[in-house]
Amino acid sequence: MRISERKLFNNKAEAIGILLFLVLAVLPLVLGVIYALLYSLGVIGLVSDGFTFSYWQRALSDAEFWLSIGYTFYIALATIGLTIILSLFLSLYFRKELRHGLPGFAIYVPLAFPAIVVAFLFFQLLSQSGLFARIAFQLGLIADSSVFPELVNDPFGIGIIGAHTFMATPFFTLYFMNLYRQANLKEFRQVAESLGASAFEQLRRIVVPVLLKRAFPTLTLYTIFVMGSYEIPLILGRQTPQMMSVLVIRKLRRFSLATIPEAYITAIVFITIIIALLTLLFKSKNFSYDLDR
Amino acid sequence: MISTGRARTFWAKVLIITLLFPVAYLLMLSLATQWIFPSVLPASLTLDRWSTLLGASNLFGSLLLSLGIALSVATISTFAGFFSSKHLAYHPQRSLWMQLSYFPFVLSPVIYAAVLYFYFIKLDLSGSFFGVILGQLLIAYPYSVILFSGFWSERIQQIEKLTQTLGGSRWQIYRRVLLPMAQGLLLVCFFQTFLISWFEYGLTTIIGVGKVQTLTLKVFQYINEANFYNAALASSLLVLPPIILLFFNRKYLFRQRW
Amino acid sequence: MKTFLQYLLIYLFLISCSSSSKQQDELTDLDWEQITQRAKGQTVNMMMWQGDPNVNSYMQNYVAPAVQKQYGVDLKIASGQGNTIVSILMSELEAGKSESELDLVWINGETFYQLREIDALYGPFVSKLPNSKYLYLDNPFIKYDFQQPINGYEVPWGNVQFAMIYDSARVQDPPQNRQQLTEYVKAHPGSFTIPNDFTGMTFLKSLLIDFAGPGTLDGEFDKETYQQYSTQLWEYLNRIKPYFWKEGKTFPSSVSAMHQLFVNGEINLTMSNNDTEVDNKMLEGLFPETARAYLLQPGTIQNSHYVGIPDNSTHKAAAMVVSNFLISPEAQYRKARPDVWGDGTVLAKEKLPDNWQSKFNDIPKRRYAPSQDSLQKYALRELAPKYMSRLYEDFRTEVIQQ
Repeated sequence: MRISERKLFNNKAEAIGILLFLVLAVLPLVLGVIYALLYSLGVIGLVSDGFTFSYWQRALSDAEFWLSIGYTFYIALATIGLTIILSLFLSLYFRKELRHGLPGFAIYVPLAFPAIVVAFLFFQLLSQSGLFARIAFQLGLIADSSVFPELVNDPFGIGIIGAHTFMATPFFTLYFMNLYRQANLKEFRQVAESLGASAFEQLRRIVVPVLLKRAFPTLTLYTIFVMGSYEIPLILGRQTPQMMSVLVIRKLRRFSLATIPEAYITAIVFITIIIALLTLLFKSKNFSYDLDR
Repeated sequence: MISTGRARTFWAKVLIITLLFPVAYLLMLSLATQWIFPSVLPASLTLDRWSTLLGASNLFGSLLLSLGIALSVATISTFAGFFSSKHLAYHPQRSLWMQLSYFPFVLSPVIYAAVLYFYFIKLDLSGSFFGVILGQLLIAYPYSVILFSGFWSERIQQIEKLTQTLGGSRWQIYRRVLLPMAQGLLLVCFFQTFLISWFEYGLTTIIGVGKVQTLTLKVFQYINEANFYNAALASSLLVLPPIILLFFNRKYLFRQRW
Repeated sequence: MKTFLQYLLIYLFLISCSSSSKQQDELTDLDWEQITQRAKGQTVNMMMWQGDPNVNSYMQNYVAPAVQKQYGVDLKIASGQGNTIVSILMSELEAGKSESELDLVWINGETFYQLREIDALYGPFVSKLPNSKYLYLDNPFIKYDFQQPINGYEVPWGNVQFAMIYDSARVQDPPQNRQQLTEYVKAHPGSFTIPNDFTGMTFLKSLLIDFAGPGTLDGEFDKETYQQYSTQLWEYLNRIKPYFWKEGKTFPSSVSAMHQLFVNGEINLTMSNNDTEVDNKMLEGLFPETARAYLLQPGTIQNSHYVGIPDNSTHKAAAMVVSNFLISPEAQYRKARPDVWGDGTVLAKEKLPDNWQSKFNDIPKRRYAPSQDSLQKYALRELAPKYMSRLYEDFRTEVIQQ
């Protein structure tokens, strides 16, 4: 992070602008990581005895720790996979309808839902005594609430994936629609059609690859978002496995004070994973720093 | 051709219902007197819960608190981000700045708050209204910077220089040229950062120590209490303002790019 | 960059080393009149478990307005359980903060233990409260909090005993002991579970005492004794786990969630730390009319809950005024009513003035909860705090993660 020592700031305004950025965006992260690191090494903290690697050893040898990392990746990737399929379908099939009128408005509605409300909603609808279960019961499809399939607080995180997908799909549907227009895909398709390509082939060879390629950075960023999710797995998840954010808070607030350093270790590992993913993203050719280009 | 068109219209209607159903459900749950298994419809509806809201209930206080925090965060982050992104964009190290701004943007707010809590205590900001605003700014400001980064192109820079040579002061350049040109983007940024703050839960709980009781905290408390009717009420309060705003601005939505 | 980091390291190291400055405590020299004077206009930030709407209503709609009216104290309540309280106070101590965010905390057991370990509580202050003369401090269930003497560092607030709750319309023969529980879950799979919270751990403690025999686990935490009997406990649980709700692969995260499952018919039995909860919830209309409560044999745990004042609170006077109100006969009487909260009182009835004695005796008799006499007969004392923390952890590793 060596900044050129020569003429750093051209004028006062620039100095303020950049310092503001450093103070609000860069410094906190650095300070936070330092604190977490020192705590995890036993250098600071009320119950620590001094520099030690024991907390790291304990954390890294804990199966739950690795399970949490794996589970976090699984949920994020499953969400983004499902979202891609659904939003591609919606943006292409309903391209006309979604541009105006009631459908055009309705697609924005889920974006007005915060994670905690989506989690609550899914719990209410999908639990074994939830609305869908009651409908099934009334229709005679199930005899008892326990027969209804486990869709929340379940081992595969179905409710969690569903909730995240519900939040992500409208966003990416709109995003794909926008990209479609920006990339002039309509014209490309017409050209392809005149050359004899069927609608399916147009989609397969032109539309989908172009959309996915252009959307790649945003898709990656959204995947990272989902990895850091807290409220949804908190309400719809199980005691184990847990996503990393939930694990960090749980370990931070334990009755055994000794696990607090482990919470910071989990936090550091999470931050490291994000840094690694972002670095890979920046190196990829598809990336440009502007969100909507 | 016609039949597929009709099929599509039908499925479009299904889509609309699927998208609007959650709002209707939350509203109904907030109005229900009792709604438990196996009833598909609530036993009856009542306005009592909503009317006690308008009375001296701390739910209304939470609404105002959330509003105050969100408006502050949106205003500060939008303008600070707009201002900063200009200098970051023109700086030779532009790519470095942009890369750096992504980290706080994508970092889980909860984990961010957990590692920074110590500093908030030391600065005497823990459990305070301003502490929560600052905490949320740490997430909203980078977002704002990223959003505006695309605005500062060569063209804008040249317009700026042109205005300067025509004798405009820096303030005039902002007021008469830059801000009007960025109007659409400023509005989008304000709305987005408002939502980021309005919807925030994890970071607010940690930094606010549970004392700064925004609407999202209330939803969580009601869920913990297993009082699902009140949770639905608080959720409706969270969700309805953005939807109403969206509804009245839908023409604008359809014009602007994301 | 390197020197910067070095300085930062040293700075942070020094911060953690320095002890928090203890303010000169003049409160010990003041008399109650002066304390009440000082409390006027102060705000009390209280942190408590808010998982029960009746408890919340009692605090928000009765206690808060009352202390405002009678003493000019503004009571503000934030949600947080024991572990959150410890986490917050600990972080404050680490940061060297001399003014705590919290003024009054609802605690007991292992929370009290940990707060004493890090010296985060103010005290002894209980004897300064005028109403403390009514406290039933000779009762071992009140004088000792998880086998620790309270020594004036926390004020007893309520006293309850653990009870099982069942729906008599769905269950004719609820399990009365460990062996019957095994038979019950096998006969009715999926209708029983344990919450992964304080109430659930109290249940496990009763089972642990059952395995160990009366008195074996009293006194300080003993690792070998714990190992010996907890192994049996986990074996037992893992054996009957497949017959639990969701095959024992997951457990409700709180007792309120469990009550919901009970009400929805997903499970037939629930449990509570409060023996009168069944009356309380039925009057509220949450539990069905057919709900009943009973005690497990050979006994269930009776414990008290308390309020304490953080050492670094800047509103100690007001906090003491609120604590005093909480143990006043009016507040305790109201709290004990099944239609309000149903929380047992910590006051000694003989010490009360006559009119209050008759009022307490006239509290609507518990209809569906176990009778008062059977409560004492089957009361077990709480175990040392480390048992609780170990149970929390080991339940996760030995049962949930298996």
